[in-house]
Amino acid sequence: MFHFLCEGEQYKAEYTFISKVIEEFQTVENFILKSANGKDNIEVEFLRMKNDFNSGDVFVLFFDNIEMIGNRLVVDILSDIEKQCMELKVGFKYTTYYCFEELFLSYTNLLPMLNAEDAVKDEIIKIQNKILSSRNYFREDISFWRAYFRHREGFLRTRESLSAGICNDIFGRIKGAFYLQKSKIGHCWMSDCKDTKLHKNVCDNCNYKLKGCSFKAKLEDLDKNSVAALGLPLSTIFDKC
Amino acid sequence: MAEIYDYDSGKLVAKYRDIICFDLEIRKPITQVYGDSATGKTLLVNFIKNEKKNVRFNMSGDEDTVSNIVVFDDMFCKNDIAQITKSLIVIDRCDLILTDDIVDFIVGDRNNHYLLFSRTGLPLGISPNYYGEFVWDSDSNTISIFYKYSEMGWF
Repeated sequence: MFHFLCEGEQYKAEYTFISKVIEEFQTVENFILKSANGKDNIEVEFLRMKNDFNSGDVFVLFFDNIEMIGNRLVVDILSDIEKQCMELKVGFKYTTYYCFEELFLSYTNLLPMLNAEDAVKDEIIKIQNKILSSRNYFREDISFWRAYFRHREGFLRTRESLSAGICNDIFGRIKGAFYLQKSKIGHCWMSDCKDTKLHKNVCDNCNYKLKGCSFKAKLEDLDKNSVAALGLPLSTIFDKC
Repeated sequence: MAEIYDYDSGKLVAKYRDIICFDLEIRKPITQVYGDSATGKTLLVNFIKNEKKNVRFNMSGDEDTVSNIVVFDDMFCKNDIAQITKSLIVIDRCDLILTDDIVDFIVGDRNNHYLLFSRTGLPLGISPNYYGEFVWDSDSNTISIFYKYSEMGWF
């Protein structure tokens, strides 16, 4: 059996997307998906879920953001869960992107779709190159984004808030339903193109490389051409450890 | 004259009289080493402090210096670190001496590297990749940093 725990709140962007991913790649009958409703509840929810673990099961933890915020450190949470899973002979996997937004921000096939100034596109390319070469762009030069978000300083607070700010700002300008906000994610990211029910004109003018494709094909492309390729690809979540 | 801390590579090599060697791969810009006492954290701090006071401990060799390392092991204020650039700032007993405004400064500082020691882990806006513990190899008498996580997407 597979036990999935999503840090994000139910019905928000991360949970919505993850539930669709699970549905798409489901290879076993028995699985359960729960929301932790925030980082502070991950361990509590894990302890509840643990009661149903059996030897040979797999527990998968989807982080919204692995930055250290709050009273418990993610490094300690991970270590403790790993130890408990090992004792119970349960496999343990976790997402390996820094935050949910970076999964999409690092997607190299994003560029042709962007309806943004060249300077913005250049900066997105820089961020993508850094993410994909394991460099912390937030710790390097972010002067462009400081100027760009000068009236929205909240976006500059942390690496996650910056990536969320960029996604919020530029994804909404992509033709189609590709928006990405904390509370919602556009259905073009998580459905077959034939099922999006968008006006034909919108789809005709879509610049997505995977235009007309299935959700599965889109996910596999995201897996290969984003930060997912560096760690846990979404298409492997049902693989045994 | 060679620095025992190579700012570009993040490598710190310090040898104390053929007794013990520190061979540390510091993950830039912030590495936090935490865990039990008597693992070598304060020993390294004292090595560097004594070297700075010109008490010869024959670290890596007579020609080696610690001029790009700054050590704090007692209460200090933000202004004490605000003027430092291109240095490794080593702070011992972080859980006791770091104030909120210093933590904010460290999190936003792009001009230095930090090696932070504490008994418990502190939330510093860094990923699990940057938390480690000292491990001692008894064969080579070498202390190094063991990082439990090295996920490529978390750097």
